[in-house]
Amino acid sequence: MLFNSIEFAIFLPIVFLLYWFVFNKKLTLQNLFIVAVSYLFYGWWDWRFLLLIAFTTFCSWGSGLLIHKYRHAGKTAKRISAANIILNLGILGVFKYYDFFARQFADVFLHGQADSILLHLILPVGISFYTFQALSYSIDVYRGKLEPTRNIIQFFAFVSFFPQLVAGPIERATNLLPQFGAPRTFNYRDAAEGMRQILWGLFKKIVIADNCAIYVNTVFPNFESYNGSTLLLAAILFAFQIYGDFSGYSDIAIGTAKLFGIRLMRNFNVPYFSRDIAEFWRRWHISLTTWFRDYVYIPLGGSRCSKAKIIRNTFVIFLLSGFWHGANWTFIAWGAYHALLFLPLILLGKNRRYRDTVAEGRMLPNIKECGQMLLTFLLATIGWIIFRADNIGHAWHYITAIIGQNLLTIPSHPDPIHYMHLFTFIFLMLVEEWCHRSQGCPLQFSRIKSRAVRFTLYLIILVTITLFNPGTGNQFIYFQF
Amino acid sequence: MKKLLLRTFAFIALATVVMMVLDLCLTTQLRQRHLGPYSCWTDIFHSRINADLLIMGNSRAWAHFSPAILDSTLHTHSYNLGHDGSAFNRQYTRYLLYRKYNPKPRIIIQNIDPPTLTYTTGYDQYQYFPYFYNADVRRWIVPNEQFTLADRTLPFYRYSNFGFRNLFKDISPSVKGYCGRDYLWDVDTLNLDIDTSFIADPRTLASFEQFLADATAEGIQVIMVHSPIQSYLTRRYGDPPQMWFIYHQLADKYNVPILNYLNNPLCDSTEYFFNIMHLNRQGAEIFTRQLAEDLKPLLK
Repeated sequence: MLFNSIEFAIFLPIVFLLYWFVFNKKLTLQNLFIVAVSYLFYGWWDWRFLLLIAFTTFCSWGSGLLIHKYRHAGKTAKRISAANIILNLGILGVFKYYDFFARQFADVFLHGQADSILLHLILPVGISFYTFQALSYSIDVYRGKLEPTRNIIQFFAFVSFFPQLVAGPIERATNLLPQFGAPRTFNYRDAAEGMRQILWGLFKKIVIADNCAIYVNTVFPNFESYNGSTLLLAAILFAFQIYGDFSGYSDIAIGTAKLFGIRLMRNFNVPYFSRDIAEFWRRWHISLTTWFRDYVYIPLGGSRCSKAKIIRNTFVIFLLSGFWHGANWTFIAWGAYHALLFLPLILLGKNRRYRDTVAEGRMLPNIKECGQMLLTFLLATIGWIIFRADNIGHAWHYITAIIGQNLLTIPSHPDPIHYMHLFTFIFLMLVEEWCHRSQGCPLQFSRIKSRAVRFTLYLIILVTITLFNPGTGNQFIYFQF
Repeated sequence: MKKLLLRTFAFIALATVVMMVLDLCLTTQLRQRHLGPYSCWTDIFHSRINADLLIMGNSRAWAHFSPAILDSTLHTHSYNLGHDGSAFNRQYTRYLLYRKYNPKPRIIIQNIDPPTLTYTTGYDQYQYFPYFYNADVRRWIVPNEQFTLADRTLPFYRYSNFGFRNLFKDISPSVKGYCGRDYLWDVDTLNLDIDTSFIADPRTLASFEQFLADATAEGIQVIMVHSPIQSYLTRRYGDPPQMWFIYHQLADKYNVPILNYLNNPLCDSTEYFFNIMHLNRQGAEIFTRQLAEDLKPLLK
């Protein structure tokens, strides 16, 4: 069930009303209801994978209890934790990476004849997200940061909570699990904020991402036929497509969760207003970045070790982060590219320079900040070319074609009026996000006192979504990860 | 909670009103403008056609038969009911609606080809949108065209779901239903993996036979015409024996002549086609002139 589908538009209000009016008497009942509707939501794609998610959840819950039980029994707890990690990553590996490695093996040892050893498994939607979420729980229990829960329903609700089940944010047990253990009371402010966030998420997904996709999907596969400026424009539009798509999803997820009295972590914090790549990574896909920081980077020594080890650790997390996205060398190259961009900042000790919000307390950025943001955006865009390409060769040829094929010409576009609208909406999105860059939630029109004006603004956004829906019914990009 | 529900309800109510207004505005505009596939439906429902010579068929009929040329040569009042992307099952529905709102024609030229006897549904449904709430469209078309419940019930949703900009993707002006294309030959269509395994669908076949039987009973003269196809495609799908057998069998049964232009010299050119299935305007006009001459001795 897609967030931008009519099924979800029917599903959400029904679940919301039942949740607050029928199942609100008892916490267990409310959690059980969450699990049931989350499984319905997930099973809408493919009910066969419900068993897989249930199995993963059960193993992580059981391992949490066992780790806690044997925490003073020498290496037993460590072995249980390791077994759970191996099991979870093993399942992820088989479904997501087996065919990739089999192909590499076949290229080296079987003269490329991989057919006999490929499994051609369907990738369960959201497997990377819920696996990492479940893993974080057992690791936190092992580290003693978290008491394991004995309540299996709460744990199932934590792993399968439908707003963030298939594409994050990848929640930490320390944040989300206690919320399923405490009674929820309805809060108008949160719910209204949630609805605004859903509206904004839909705008970013349907108006920005899906419309950018039309241009991007035309240009990328046939890049040889276009001039450099068109290729550059397509790359820039892909940067907005992936941002609109993924942050739009996150906004809808966070907004939906708020309707149920649950607060999810922020996943995007205006990343295209970053002044360097380090800041970009503090603002892009925060839940994954912090996951790798807490469970990989810091255990490897983090930044409290020699320069050589810091560089190694940086490369490890970026390569892993790239590989997490998919079984393709392009993702690994994308990770390596960002690690290389990070390198000079680490070596110069400047990777923590920008921890505040750009132009804090000012209406507009200064020229230096503009230049920094533009440069960071362009560097990120080059990374997105690698990310979007079918293979490394495609990425390389695309990048060289930008420079080699008449960069200083007018980009070609089959439908100029459509793209004029699109650029206007991208501009409006950036303006909105700039205005609310210090706040956690978009569409905060608290300065506008008139309710009618605020209503009209929301209505305009809704009408814009309706009119500029390209009608392609695009899935969210991150579902494939 | 009450506050949220009340405000949400108010917002949804307001949004519904706005969508209804948008729906009304767009529907009215699409009905008024004589654009692409919408114009034929407008002519049908406003009883503006009243043709004595009717052309029926799929997109090839739409793009190949110029009523103006037929009228000037044959001194008729003709109209092209060619229905893009449609096998006869859809063509027949359009014909029945035509008959409901317009008097019967004297002559029908039915364009035939292998795809005509297959079954099509759910193609370019946007053409029905301006008449979506017409009772006949609701009864005869909407149930067969894969519309979702939301398309059927929510105001404006169908336009949005299909993609607002797609509504205007093919709005070449049409004259008496004919839509001549000034496109040049698209060499890429030679490389298309076109499915040429056409199999007659029993439902379509039944409609086709019913159509011929009714026309005969009503004294309407039907002439089947296989308009030109670029010879590359003819070579590829050859001469599907099943289809030709059916057409000839029905033609014999109902005493309908068949005019076959598959071996016409036009078919060997690329100058007169814009793809392997469709003549461009220049080709269509040459073809229609030839057809008009060939029709002269056949018309009763």
